[in-house]
Parts: sequence; structure tokens; C-alpha cells
Amino acid sequence: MSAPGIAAETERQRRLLAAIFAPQADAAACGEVCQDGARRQAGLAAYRGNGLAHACNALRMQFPTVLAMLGTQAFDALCARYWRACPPRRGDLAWVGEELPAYLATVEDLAQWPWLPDSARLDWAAWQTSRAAPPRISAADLQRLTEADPADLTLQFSACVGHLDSAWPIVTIHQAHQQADADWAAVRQAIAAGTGQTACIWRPLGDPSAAVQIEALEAATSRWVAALARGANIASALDAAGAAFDFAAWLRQAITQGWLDGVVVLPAE
Amino acid sequence: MNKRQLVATTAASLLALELLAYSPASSAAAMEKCFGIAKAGQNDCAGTHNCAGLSGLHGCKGTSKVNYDPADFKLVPAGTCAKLGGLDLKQARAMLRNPGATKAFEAQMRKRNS
Repeated sequence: MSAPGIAAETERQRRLLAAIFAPQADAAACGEVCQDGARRQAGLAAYRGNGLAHACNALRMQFPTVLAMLGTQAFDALCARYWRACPPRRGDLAWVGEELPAYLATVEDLAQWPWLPDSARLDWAAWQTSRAAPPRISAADLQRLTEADPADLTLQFSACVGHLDSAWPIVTIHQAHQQADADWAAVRQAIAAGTGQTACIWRPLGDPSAAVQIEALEAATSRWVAALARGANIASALDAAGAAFDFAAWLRQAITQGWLDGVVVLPAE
Repeated sequence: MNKRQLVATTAASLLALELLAYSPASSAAAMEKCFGIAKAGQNDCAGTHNCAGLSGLHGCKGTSKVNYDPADFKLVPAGTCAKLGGLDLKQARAMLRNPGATKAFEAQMRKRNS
């Protein structure tokens, strides 16, 4: 589909969503998505009825950890509340969960599980990573690393990897909900200790059916990726990471796993 | 070893190993649709009709309901689909005309990936 075609389809979907969520559908506002009279009303009613069910199915796939924490019944009730509180802004169901993590932080009866919004952010990051375009890094980028001063370069992360910093042990919590024989005592202990974690989320290359990988970064690597995310040059990021950071091992993994889109020359100060 | 040496030496060794050659191609042009390899919820699609799976039941990325459905595709590096056990468009269309063959294909893919 051409760029104008995509823009027109996006606008058509936006108008349809506005009509579905409008208390009284305004024919003028609906534009070409609406038909007239009873047929239009019947069509909108069908969309209203099916929309929540489709959204709920999509949200279950997008937030497996939150689903496991709450259970199906409570999760479906949450979906219904979210559907009303945060109507989707795009017609593509792949984006329906975009605002769920922020919404969870506003739900008072979920406040007893304060790590839930971050767990949802981790689920959403995994979902986004699973749909990421391939990395764009080339041999020319690596060549740049061999020639230029690291103080003049930075690394640009690809969409195939994400990093999420949390005050909660979100990776431990996530992993426990993936296992049949999880050590819940250890999970409770980590939560009680207030042990925060930085999660690294990536989509394995070469095997499209492989599950997204999630692991907790140790402190030095966490400082390294945080510095790069702030736009620091490679030399400064190495300083921030400290002597414990194994740059060679990290770069090899970054290249083979497609974590980088490029090596960027920073503008002279 | 100073930082410049560390970075340059590491990058040079990775270049020598040609690790990038083993990564999926770096442009979307080198990708192809591979049918029958997506697990439920992991199909690729841009959410538009011309990109929907062959079933026409859903047009959105990540909304497939069945594992290894020959009607749904994932984008993979060109030339790797057959190695993953997947089907090209022509093979997938032929498969979908035969419900028995479709079920057998899905079972075979489940076994292959279990």
C-alpha cells in the first residue's frame, strides 16, 4: 500500500473508531465510514459488540504476565474497564494495549500490587519487540568503530531490543509466571527486599517462531545501556559502566542478536 | 588497553568473523512471507487488507488464533522459509484447499517445534 493509501486507511479507521465510541453517532463526523439509517446503526452496534471481545483477545496475547497475575475473569473485567476508559486511537488491534500500563497505575483496587504497571510495561515491550523490523546495522558501522575515536561515536539500538528499568524485580516476577514450578517464596522475598531490575528484552534473530527473550541485566551492563539510551558517547558510556563491564562480549551479542541499528558519529561540540 | 584500542579491536574481530553475514538481511526487501510457521498471536501483518493472511478472517499482526496455520505468515529472511518448514504463497493456497492436509501440516509443525 502506498503512503497516501496508508494515510487514508488510518483516517478511515480513526473515523470508524470515533463513530463506535460516540454516544450518538454523528453522521457528519463519520464521513464515508457510515451508511445511512438503520443499516448504519446496525453496523455500528455490531462493531460495538464485537470490538470489546476482539480487544480482550488481543490484550490477553499482549499482556500474558498481567493475565497470569490476575486470572482470566479479573483480566477480562479489567479489559472492559480499560476499553471504556481508554478507547483505542488506532484501528489496528496490535496497538490496543498501548495505554494499559499507564491505566493500571490509576486503578485503585490494583494498588496493592504496585509492580503491576511495570510488569505490564515489560509485557508490552516484549510484544513490541516481537513485531520489530529487522536491524539495519551493516559492516560499515563496525568499520566505523575500528577507525573513529569512541568519544565521537554512539550506538543506536534497534527495535529488536528493549530495556526497561524498574524499582521492582520485574524479570523475576515475569519468569515465575512462565513456570509451572516457580519458587514463589523467592519471588516474595525479592519483592519484599525492594530489589529493582533492569530488563533486557529481545527477539532472537534467525528463528521467527522463537519466543522473545527476557533477562535481568547485571549492574554494569545496566549502567552501559542507560548511558547509551541517554545519548552518551561510547567512551563516556564505558566510564559509566565501570571496569566490570565486558564490552567485547556485549558487542558480540549485540551484533549477533540484532540489537543495533547503527554506529552514529556524534556532531562536534 | 585504552578505550579506543578496546573498541577498535573488538569491532575488527567481529568484522573478521563476518558475524553480520549470519544475521538476517538488514533490509525489508530481503524478507519474504513464510506461511504456516507462526504460532498463535505471532503472525506478521501490517493490519491492511492487502497484507492479511489467506483466511481473510483477520487483518492484524499478532491476531492469529491457531499455531502453524498455513493461512498466516511471518516475514523471514529470503531463502530461509523452507528450512523453517514453512510454505510459500502458492504452496499455502494449495494446502488450504485440502482440510485434511492442512491438519496434517499443523500437526507436523507442532511435532517439529515441540
